[in-house]
Amino acid sequence: MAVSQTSEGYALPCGRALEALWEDLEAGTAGRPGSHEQDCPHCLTALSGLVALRDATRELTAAPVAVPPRLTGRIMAAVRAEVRRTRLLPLPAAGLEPGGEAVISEQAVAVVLRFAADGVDGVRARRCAVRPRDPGQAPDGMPGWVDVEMTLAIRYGISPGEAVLAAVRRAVLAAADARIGLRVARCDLLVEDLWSAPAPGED
Amino acid sequence: MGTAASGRPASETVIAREVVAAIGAHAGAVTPGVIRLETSVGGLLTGLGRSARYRIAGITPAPVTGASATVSSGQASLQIEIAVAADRPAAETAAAVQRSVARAVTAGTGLRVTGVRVVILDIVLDRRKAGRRPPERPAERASWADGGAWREELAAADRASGAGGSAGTSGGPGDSRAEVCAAVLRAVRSVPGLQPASPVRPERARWMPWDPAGLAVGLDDGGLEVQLAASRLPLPPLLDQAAAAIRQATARTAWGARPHRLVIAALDAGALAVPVAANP
Repeated sequence: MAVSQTSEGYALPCGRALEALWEDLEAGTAGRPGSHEQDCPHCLTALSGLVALRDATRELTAAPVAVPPRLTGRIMAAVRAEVRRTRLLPLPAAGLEPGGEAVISEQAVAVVLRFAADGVDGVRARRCAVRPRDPGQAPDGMPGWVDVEMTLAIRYGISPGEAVLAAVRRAVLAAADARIGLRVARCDLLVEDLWSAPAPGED
Repeated sequence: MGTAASGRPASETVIAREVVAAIGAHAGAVTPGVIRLETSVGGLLTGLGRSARYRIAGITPAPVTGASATVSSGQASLQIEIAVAADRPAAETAAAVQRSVARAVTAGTGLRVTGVRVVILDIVLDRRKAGRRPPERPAERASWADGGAWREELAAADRASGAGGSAGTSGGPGDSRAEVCAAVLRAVRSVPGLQPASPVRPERARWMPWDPAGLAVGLDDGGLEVQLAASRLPLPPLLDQAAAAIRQATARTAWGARPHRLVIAALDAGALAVPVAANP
C-alpha cells in the first residue's frame, strides 16, 4: 500500500508516525515502561533526535538577549557620520606614505571655519561652502588648496567694512591651516544680515 | 606559506579581512589626535550582527567599527574613518593614523599594506564635549575557558579509546573523519593563542553528541580547512605552529598528503588589549 508521507506525516520503519512520537514526548508519555518505543530501535533513535532538538530549542529561546551598550547613541552617531560622508575634500599628501590617501568631510571643515569666524567680535558665521581647488589652478600648483564661501551676520552698529572682513579672512585662513592643514586660495564673504545686541538692562 | 622542504603539500593560510580591519581599527583609535572611530549605519548593523554571531561561538570579537579592509595575495589595503581633535592639523593626524595602521597590520599579520585611506568625518573643537571613549571593549567578556570542559571530556575519551597522544602529536588517528577531526582539534588547541572558530558555543551545544568545535574543521577529498580564532598577535608564528601541528597530527591519514587551509576567521578582543592610558 502506498502511503503519502507528505500528507500523512513521516512514518518510521516500525510504522509509528514521527508526529505521534513528538506529541508523546511533549506530553511526557514517550518511553514509558511497557510502551512500544521502549524496545523499538527506530523509535529510540528518533526519540534521541527529538529530545536533542527540543533541548536545543529551549536553550536558544531561554538565552538572554543583551542590548548592546550605548546603542541609541551609536545609531545617532552613525546617522550623523552618514551625512558628513557626502562631500569629501582631499587633504595634502605631505606626510603620507606611498599608497596612502587622506580626505576630510567638507562639513567638518566648515564647522571649524565658522567657529573661527565667530571668534571675530560682532560676527556670526552662517553658511560655509568649501570647494577643492584644482592643483593646476592653485597658487603653487600643489594639492591642498580650497576656495571658501561664507555668509555672515554682523552686529548692528559695526561697520561691515574692510577691517571686520579682513579680520574674518585672517581667522578663516589661520584656522584652515592650523587646525586642518588646508590652504585657502580664495575666501568670499557675503554679509547677508544684521543683528542687534540687547541694550544694557535688557534681557 | 610555501611548500615544506620535505616535499609535503603546502599549508595555505588566510587571514580574514575582518581580522585585518580590527587590527587597523585599534591602531587608528589609539593614534594621538584621534577622538573616535566613525561608522556608517550599515557598518554599525553589520558589526552588531557579527558581534552577536561570535558571542554564540564564545568569542568576543575585536571591534571593526570604522575600519574596512581588503586582503588579496598577501597584501592588504584599509580604510579608516575617524573624528579628530582640533588642537593639531587634521592632515598631520591623518598621516599619523596611516603610518600607525600600516605598521600595526604588517606587524600583526605579516601582510604587506599597499594603502591606507584615512577619512576624517568630524573635527572635535572641544574634547570635553566629545564624549571621547577608549576603543570599544566588550562589557561582558566571553571566556574561552568555556571550551575547557570539552577539552577535558575529549581528552578523557581519547584516553579511554587509546586513540590520543599529547595534543598535536597524535600517534596516528584512523582515517575516519571523526578521528581526523579530533586530531586536528587537538593540534589547534596545542597552540597557545589559537582556538577552533566553531559557530556554536560548547555550553549551548550540550545536546550535540560530538564536540561542537568540530564544526570549525572541514574535511573533503580536496583537502582540509580549519577556521580559527586568535587571541594573540602576531599571527604568522601562530599559523606556522598550527600548520606544523596539524600536518603532524594528520601525517598518517588520507589528509596528510592533501592541501591544508588555515583561516584566521576571528580575532578575540583580548589580542588588542593595551593600556587605555596610552591614549593622549
